[in-house]
Amino acid sequence: MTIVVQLFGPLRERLGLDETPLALPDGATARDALAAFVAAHSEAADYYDAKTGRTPLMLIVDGERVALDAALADGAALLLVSPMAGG
Amino acid sequence: MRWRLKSAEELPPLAEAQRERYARQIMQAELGELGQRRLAAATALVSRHGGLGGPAALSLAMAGIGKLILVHPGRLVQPALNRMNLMSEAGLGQGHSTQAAETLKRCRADLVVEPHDCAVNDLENLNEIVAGCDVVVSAAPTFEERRCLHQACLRTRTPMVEAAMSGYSALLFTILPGETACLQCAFPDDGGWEEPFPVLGAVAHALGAMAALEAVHLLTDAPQLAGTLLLWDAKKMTMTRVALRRDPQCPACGGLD
Repeated sequence: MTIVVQLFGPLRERLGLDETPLALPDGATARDALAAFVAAHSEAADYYDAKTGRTPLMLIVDGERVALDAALADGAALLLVSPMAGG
Repeated sequence: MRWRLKSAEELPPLAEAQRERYARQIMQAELGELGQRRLAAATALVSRHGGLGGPAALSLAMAGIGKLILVHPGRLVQPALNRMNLMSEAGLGQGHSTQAAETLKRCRADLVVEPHDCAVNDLENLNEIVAGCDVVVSAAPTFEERRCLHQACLRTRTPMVEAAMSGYSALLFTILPGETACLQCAFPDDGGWEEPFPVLGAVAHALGAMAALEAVHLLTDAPQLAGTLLLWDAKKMTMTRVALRRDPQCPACGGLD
């Protein structure tokens, strides 16, 4: 299946990327998507620690905050919101 | 819960000059004369009044808020002049809050302004100051200041409007301590935040005005973003609302009721 990863906040600026398609196995979770995304974008490595599963990102699907173990559907848009302190 | 609207019996009447000055917003049914009286009796603290907090402070002043407490460290430098609308070239080298207070007093002579040319985490009596506020607007460019202010709001049960941006990304939500999700519930980890961050004045100004509007809603009627995160993509010009739920295990607010 294929989802779309959308970026919001400093991570978007760091990668110079608004959104990108991401191919995943059927039944993949948000954690799988985040791991695959970070593997494909090494500049995002500090946004996900595969060993501990920790991430500062807020994960949103269809306007709802989701946990890392949430299952994703084909065509889903996964919005990754990074913490911001700009004023 | 500390947040509540003042009743008509608790509020002084408007002076005729106030009624005239604010006639165009008093005619807004949701605000009305009672709302204007609530604004006139209210105190707001704005933590940093740069590109984001400056427009927020200006909007609150123009709307008729009674008192503004301005907190911003350091002296004005040239690269800030792309966005800080309470500053001017003539003020280069001067303290931010002192200059902002002068600008606001030129706009509204009867505004009570309390400037502090320091960061919130340098205020020894921060809890006492925050306890005297009806709302706090969090608009500093560091998580250290935001977390410090957030802690003071939780301790004193003071409502906080959290506004933050980076480039074309902006977020806004309101924290009612002990009732809705706090900053820690929303973002447990500060992540890869780095300064300097990109900022276009128009984005910061628009978000600042939205933060002020949310503060006006909170002070006069009801907050619209308590427990709701508003994400504004200023590049695509889209907005997304996301429900925020309290984390019962939250180390910051989990024990509050």
